[in-house]
Amino acid sequence: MLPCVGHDMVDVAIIGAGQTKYGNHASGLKGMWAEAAKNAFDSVDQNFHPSRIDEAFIGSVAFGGSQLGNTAALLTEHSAMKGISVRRVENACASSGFALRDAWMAIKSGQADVVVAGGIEKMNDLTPERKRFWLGVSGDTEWERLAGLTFPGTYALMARRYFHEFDSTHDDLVNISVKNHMHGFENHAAHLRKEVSFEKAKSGFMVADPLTLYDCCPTSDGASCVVLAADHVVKEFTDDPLWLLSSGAASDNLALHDRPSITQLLATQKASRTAYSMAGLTPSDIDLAEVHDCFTIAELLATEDLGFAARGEGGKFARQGLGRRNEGDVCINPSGGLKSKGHPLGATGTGQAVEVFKQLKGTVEPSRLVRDAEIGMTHNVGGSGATCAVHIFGRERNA
Amino acid sequence: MLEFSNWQGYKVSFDNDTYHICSPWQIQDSPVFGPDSDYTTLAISLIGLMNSNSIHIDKVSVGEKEIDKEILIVATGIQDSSEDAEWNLICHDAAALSISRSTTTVFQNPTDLLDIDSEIYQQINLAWEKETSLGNVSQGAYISSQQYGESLNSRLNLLAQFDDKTIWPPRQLNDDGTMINNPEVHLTRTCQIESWTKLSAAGAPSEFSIRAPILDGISTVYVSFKEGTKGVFLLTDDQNKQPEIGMKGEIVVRRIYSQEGQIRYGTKVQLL
Repeated sequence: MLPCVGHDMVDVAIIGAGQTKYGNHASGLKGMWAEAAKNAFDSVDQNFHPSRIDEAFIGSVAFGGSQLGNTAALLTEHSAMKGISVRRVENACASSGFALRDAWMAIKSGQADVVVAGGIEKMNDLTPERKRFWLGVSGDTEWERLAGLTFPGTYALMARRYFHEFDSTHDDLVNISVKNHMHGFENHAAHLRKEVSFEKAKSGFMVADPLTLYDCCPTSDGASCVVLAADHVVKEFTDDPLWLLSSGAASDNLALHDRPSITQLLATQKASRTAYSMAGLTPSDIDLAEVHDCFTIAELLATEDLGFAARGEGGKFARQGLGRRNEGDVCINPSGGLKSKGHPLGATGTGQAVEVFKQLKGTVEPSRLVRDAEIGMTHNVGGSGATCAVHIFGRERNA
Repeated sequence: MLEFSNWQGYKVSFDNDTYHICSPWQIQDSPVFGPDSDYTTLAISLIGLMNSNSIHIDKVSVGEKEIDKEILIVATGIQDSSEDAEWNLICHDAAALSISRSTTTVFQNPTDLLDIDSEIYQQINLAWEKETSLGNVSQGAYISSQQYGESLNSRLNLLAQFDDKTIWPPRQLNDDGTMINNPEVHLTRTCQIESWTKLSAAGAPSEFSIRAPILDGISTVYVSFKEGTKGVFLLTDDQNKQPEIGMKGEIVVRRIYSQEGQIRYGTKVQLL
């Protein structure tokens, strides 16, 4: 485990954050990234110029295999970041969650003052078969994939096992789907902006039994970008920064059959323990959390693994609507989550940070503001839980 | 009249130093292969039956081009020898074969074969033909022949490592950084269903994109072995039962998919 360096080194703030709308994009990679970067630059309160950026980390899985090599060099070349140290970060769907962590560490180490973390994915211009190919390459190729598993399948195995072990049914997942569609309905950046009824979500087309279409997030195009700054330069750019209080990350066995349990993600548990400890906070301190609900069962498990519900109580948490905006102690996925906002794989992690930035700064659409929120969290998972990055953000420098 | 019993999803019989096996499916009173079976899978299954009856074959005269000899040898440990083999492997015209001490055998169909939908049968055969053609570029995850071959013994024979506990599929270094011994422990071939799913054709991996729509999706089970290890497997394609958690299954060898003109064999679960 990494040492808790947060209190003795440079503090890190988020000074800007922006993204494209998620969904089907007409523009290509360069255009999408430039749009997200421009939105992030424009969100900085004052005196920002891209020449101040020292380093950039851009998460992406593969966007269909085009420009796999030197991705970050190409994208930064087209977004006024030419000449700086850049790299593509790949950890499946957690790619930009780890890009954010790398950016945070670059500032923490004292090597950089202003760093960009972002992510991008474009897959809706692919044939359905090619899309499924790229969606599947982050699982255990040699053993799981030849057993017929893509991620809907792996999460379906988790869901059925969870229902067997605990007091929960598919209806609990339906509640999560309905909640996230409700949250995303008013998010102008969301891919699927539509509310769904319990009945409709319950009777969706079966994708991987017991998971239906309404349990699965869409595959989205999108880009997201976050600008981080060291404490000693923050005042140049804003009087009202958002502080990145802690970063936790962990990994686990790639294949389900190598894990002791398939009803919990140990990487999430470990990453969140580190993040809580570093920030000096507990789950009850979190006001809102963007959690990785690639499938509804993933959100249910995350509410337990992140400590919002006790083990085996995630179904009850969902049933009682405790994650709804301004209804429970913590709002889960105020953006609509991956289910409604969308899931552009490599862009998702920093896209979550964009939502937390806007929520805590009070710049989201007023109708979907989480009231009195001071502390936010992002939870970004790679694949079926092989990698996980958890970040905690606060309005105050020392929460 | 031969009496047949069920074995690993097939029909088997014994008659005067001759063992017979055939597909449980028929069209117009003649056995035909199920969606993931062929002579190779029948032969592996029959040799497994003979081994379980304490009849151990060292050498067999295969001599049939329909058999993938490399897979047969890896899966059973036998040697292919036409000169000094005590046993002969004989493929019949229908989806049946015999292993006999004699060089000629007569095979009589079981009387309780099940009718298979002839249209689906045709579609599956055409799908395999298309999938196996060299012109077909699989959109599935790429697993090279070398990578496939490296794990083939562990895959087909459930060959596990032991390093304080049984480990399968094989791993490299243990938690102390020591290279784990080569696999040499055979898992029992029975397992217990711990979870399962049925993927729609749209949700199945690209490897199965040609056949999954014909099969109305594919089913995967997550199982435990009594040795403590876990695994994920496809169910055999002609499984009629719906799996349930707690149900028992048996690991059998079947066709999985095809890549670069080569059929990739592997293990699937036949529910008991």
